[in-house]
Amino acid sequence: MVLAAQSDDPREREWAVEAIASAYWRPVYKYLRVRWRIDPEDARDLTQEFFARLLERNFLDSYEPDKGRLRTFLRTCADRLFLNQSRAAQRLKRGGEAVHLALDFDVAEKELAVAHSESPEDLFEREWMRALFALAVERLQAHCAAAGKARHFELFERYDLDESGNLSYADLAREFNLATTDVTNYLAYARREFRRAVLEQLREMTGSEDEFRREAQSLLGVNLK
Amino acid sequence: MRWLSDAVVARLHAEAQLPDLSGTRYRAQRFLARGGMGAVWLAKDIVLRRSVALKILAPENSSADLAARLLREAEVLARLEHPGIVPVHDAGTLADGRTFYCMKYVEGQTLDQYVAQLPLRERLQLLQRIAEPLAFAHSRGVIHRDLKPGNIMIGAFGEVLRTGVWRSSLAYQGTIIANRSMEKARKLFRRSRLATAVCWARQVTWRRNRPGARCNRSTIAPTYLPSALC
Repeated sequence: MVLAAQSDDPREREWAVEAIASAYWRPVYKYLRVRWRIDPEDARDLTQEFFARLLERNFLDSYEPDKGRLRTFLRTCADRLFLNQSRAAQRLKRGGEAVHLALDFDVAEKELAVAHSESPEDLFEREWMRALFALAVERLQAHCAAAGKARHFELFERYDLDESGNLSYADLAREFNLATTDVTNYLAYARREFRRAVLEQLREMTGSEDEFRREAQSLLGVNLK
Repeated sequence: MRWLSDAVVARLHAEAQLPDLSGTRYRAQRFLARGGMGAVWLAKDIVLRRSVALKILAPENSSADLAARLLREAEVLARLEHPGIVPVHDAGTLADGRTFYCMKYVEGQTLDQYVAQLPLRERLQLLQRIAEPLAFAHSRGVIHRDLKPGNIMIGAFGEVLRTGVWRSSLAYQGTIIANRSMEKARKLFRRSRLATAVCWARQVTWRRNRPGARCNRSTIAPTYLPSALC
């Protein structure tokens, strides 16, 4: 993904930046809000500016995968971007060529309202993980739909994405008119595919193969040779 | 992109950390809970065809020290043969390098859930059954390091079973306490007894009278703490 974002081809670069933005905009936005205590309007502009700059081919040239994780690099860049902006110029001016990503800041702002006492850096990490899993769920949904396993995803969504966590397999069996053993099997399939989806998504959100392997080991306990 | 709550993220994280049980007699069924060191999974013992609980060190906690600590916890727990303490069946290292131990799977409710519908008299009777395994462990130089209602399970037959972190007081966090440091051991025992008292007071009266109030040594009214527990 990082290589694509550094490509000479503007279309490939745009596609790669959109993919990176979909994973990173929430962590970046919330981090800027909390770390620099700026108001939502300025944080929105800075976040848009941040990803618009990613479209510039040399933006990621200074990223060295062997020196740190991609998300640490992006967080540092967000800090630099903030520090480089003049406080007087509250509104950032973007050129007409810059892409304007459709990012739902209002939703992010509501999420931020839920109080957390962690540091901005920990908040960034937490949001990064939330984005990783949310995008992996989307991948899983697409995979199940394409493979004719929509029911498998429905069960996964009902059980694993349930807020209360109080459902039993027997509840699901009654609700979906299935045998409990079928529920067990469907969920086992969905979870196996979800794990695969997390790894695919993780590969896209890391800066190098080495970083991907280290993250896979650290996050999931997977030892990829 | 859909919004996932912290609880759902934690559950998905655990699901994605599905342990590699190849080469073992266990098959993972579902994630049960996450603790400080790792996660607990419901698994099937395919040899004996029974459900068991596997406590597995989290990948991010894969240091040799923590692995040794988990194994020590299993060893301490295995020595405590008491009907009120969850028995350990097995311990070892999985194919993915993670340390685990296998214990009885307790189907039931945590103390929190169970006492909600109990009258005061039965709550008091429950206290005695909660304190027995603790006294037994103390008599063998072992303390419970994380005593809380969530670590006390009431089984299907009404039996009280303790789960959680157990430590030998003589090898507290890997440090052998010498004779001259026996005061430290005594402090640990006192702290453990206090935890029991806090747990009890909270379940019997405190939380019911003051919802949301924090519960510690200074906030529990002295009348709730028999002198033997202080």
